[in-house]
Amino acid sequence: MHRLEEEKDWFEEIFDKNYEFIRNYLYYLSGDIELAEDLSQDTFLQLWQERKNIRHETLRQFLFKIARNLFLKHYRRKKISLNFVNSLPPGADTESPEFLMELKEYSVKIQQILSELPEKTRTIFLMSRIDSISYAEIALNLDISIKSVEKHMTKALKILKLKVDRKL
Amino acid sequence: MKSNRMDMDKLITGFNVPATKSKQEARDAVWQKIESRGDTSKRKTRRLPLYLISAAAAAALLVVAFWVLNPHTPAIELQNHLAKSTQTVLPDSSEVVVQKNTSLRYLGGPSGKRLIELKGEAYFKVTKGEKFKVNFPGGELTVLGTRFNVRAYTAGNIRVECYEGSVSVALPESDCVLKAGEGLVLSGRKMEGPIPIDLSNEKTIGDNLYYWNNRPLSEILSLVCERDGLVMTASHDVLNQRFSGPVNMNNTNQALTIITKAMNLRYRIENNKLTIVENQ
Repeated sequence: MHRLEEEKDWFEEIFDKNYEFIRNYLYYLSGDIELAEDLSQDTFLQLWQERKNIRHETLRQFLFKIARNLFLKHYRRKKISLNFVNSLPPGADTESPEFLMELKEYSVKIQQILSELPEKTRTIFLMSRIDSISYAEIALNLDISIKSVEKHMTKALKILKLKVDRKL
Repeated sequence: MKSNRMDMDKLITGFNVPATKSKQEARDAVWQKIESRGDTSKRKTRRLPLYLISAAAAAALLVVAFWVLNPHTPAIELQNHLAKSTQTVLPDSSEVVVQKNTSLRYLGGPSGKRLIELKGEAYFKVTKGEKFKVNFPGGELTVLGTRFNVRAYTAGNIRVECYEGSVSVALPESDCVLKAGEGLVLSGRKMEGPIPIDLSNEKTIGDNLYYWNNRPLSEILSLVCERDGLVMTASHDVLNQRFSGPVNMNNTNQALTIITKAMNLRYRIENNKLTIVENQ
């Protein structure tokens, strides 16, 4: 009984530390918030079920792997559409309704471009920008090299610049 | 254009995932899922590396081969919980008399070797042939073809008697060859033997009639207890007394009465405990 209590505490700590990253990761992959939330719950469910065999030093990696596998199980190749919520800090610039309109348009365009990025590139780019995870950490979590993280980042920025310029 | 000048990076960095659930809500949802599926903790079924699989296959093959080729395939199992002894003929046509509270397993195979696993007491009349081996608690013995009796309920109280031919007995601390008319007694760690035995005892083995010739009560009473699954309490003085005479073991109470009356003792059996004290 005592052991189970300990396990529960451990699990909740892991959950609190990682839930948002996993959910966001799944959202970047799928562009479907309901699916992302559902699958991240399943990710932790699986973590609980396999808690006895977990190597703690690679725990995060393990979580991302479960998440990715769950996503691939549900994966239907379809056009995704990201729909982020803007959270620009309110300032002098943002007050004119004209500007707000423009901002909205602009962010919709950017999200559209992001949605069209290759899945892996998009995910890595957004993990870096939105979740501010370091390249090294992303590499570790997704079990890839730092070099390829850098490559995806460069690629994402290049496409974004190109398309933004063209669309505007 | 204004937008063009706007820091795209800053905009993206400010994006938020449109979550519908707070972290706390999600956590509760996970616990709910965990509980609804029962708290099963999966044991990992990891695929073994190839060399391990082949090793396992080889081992399995060996086991199968051993099982097929092994001369000792279980053939017969006997358990005697009756008060009376039972007589049986083994597949190799050896005769065996199995005493009370005794289990015996006969393993024999095409090569003709015979192996017996015995716990308790049994008399064997072995048909001549290949090696005949008896494993019992605390030792083993081998014969080719003879008549002998083994009493070994526990490793601490062993008696082997040989009535014909010879028996080679291996005990942890000593080996010994018994010839016809010789016996061996091991009680505790003390071994006696070979000692002369009365060959006429053999005739009464099937009748549960035991002839004791100046034997310590420890040996006799241990046997009574082992046959009936009793635990004995008695002083050293009592156990060191020696008893001579026939005792019929068909009825435990009767046997105990005979022994205790003769030795001026009293006995009591309660909850499988046998207590023996001297008469005041």
